[in-house]
Amino acid sequence: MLARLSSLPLFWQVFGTNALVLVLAFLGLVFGPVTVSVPPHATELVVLVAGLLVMLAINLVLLRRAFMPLDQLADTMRRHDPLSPGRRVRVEGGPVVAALAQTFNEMLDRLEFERRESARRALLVQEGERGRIARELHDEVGQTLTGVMLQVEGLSGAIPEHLRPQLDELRETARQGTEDVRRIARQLRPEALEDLGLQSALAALATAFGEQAHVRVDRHLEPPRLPLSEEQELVIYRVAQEAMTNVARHAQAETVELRLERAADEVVLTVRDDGRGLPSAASRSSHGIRGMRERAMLIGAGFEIKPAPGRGTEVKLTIPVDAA
Amino acid sequence: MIRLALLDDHPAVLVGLQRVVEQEPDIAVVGAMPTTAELARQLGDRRPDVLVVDHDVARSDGLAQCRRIKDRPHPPGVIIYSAFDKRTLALPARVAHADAVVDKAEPVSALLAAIRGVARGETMLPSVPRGTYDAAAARLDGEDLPIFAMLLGGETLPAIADALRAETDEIAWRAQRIIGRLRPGAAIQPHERELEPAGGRVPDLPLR
Repeated sequence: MLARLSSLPLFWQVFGTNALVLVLAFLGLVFGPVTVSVPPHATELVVLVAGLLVMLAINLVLLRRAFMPLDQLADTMRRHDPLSPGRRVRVEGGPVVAALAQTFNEMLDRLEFERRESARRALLVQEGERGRIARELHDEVGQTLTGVMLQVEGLSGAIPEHLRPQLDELRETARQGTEDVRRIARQLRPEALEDLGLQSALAALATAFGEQAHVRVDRHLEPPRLPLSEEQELVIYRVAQEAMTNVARHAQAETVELRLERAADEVVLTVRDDGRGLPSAASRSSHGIRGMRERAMLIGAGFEIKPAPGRGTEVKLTIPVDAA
Repeated sequence: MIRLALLDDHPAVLVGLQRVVEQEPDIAVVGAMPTTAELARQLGDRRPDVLVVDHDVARSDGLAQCRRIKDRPHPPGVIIYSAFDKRTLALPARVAHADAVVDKAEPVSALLAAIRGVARGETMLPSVPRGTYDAAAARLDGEDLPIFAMLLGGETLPAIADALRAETDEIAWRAQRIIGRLRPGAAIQPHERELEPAGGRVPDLPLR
């Protein structure tokens, strides 16, 4: 009977439950050995209160059963993480709850599609703008500094000997400026990725990072077996870059391990450090981490950030080969 | 005496290069201009031994110019002087048959050494990083791969045209397309990818 009741629409479940309780109360009053005096006696009051409690308990049990799928649905809705797409509520329960779950799932499909598209557009715009700034830096500021360096060099034969150390200093400053501009441009636009491929670009990133942050970088980069799309390569590169930037800024690590591995059905990027670990509050709210999660979402990849075995932090990006 | 020509469209770099080279007793600058056409006019009948060409994606392309010059009989030595990481130019410079690549961030002595080395007939190209061939092949059309391989092997355009039984103009056009796609930064500038075919608006230098 309960199973039949739960297959009814919610309205009829509530109505049926209340009707059942009222009918039981009615039958109890009509056919039971119950009389109520005016004013009622103490024993009659006890019987009435007991009957009332029984009715409330039956009502509670039956209504709870009717509303439980709704509570579960609401709970799933509350726990839904827009940055971990793909999770859906189970379509079960009465027809109303099932329809609601189905509608919710369809709404999630639309929202996730829209979110993915707007994230893709935003990232494309961001990459484009980064590329433009990098080119301006590279082609204008960098060239001017090169010109300064050369002109300073050209002066070396024409100035008095006692000024030569200052000239050397000036030339070295200009040369350092050229390198700084190039380093910033490279961070803004990963030219090595387009020109040398993912493996070499990650190797170059690891080398540059090790030199700048004075951190030992152990790299294990397997050659790709299947070609990844440009978008996937860019996401892998940017996640590695952001993870290593976080290590340099916050981790106080001595060693960083950079791994790119290809299993049968996935490509896994791992950046693991031996630093002081991740403050718990930062795990979801940090801008950099949010950016990595958004990029991972864009290519349908799994993203995980957790304490590394021993100490430090581990960032893992898992790209299914289906998506590759 | 090494006769040197300079082609760089950034005025500060061009002036700086001249200042540096003027101090060297064994090098004479026979031409220094920001554009190919102006340099061609300035050179007139003079033939440089070494040409230093800027590689700049945004404005002109030294690699394409280099390949055109190297197609001619008895070409000068060509040094690609670039603000890009040398490693990213290792492969396109080989395809363009350049003799040396010098990074603009390197000390001036590296450029002077390259000028002298190339004048002696040496080749001073950076090694090609691992994985570069795959990345390069992925950016090329399948039909261009044999030409790419032969250019890497140092074959001339007429020899490639002969081997593939095609017109030299067609091979020249496709060689330019290959260089256009391999040059650093080309992947993020698809609208600038395709270069002018040989014989287009960009005038050739009157080099022997």
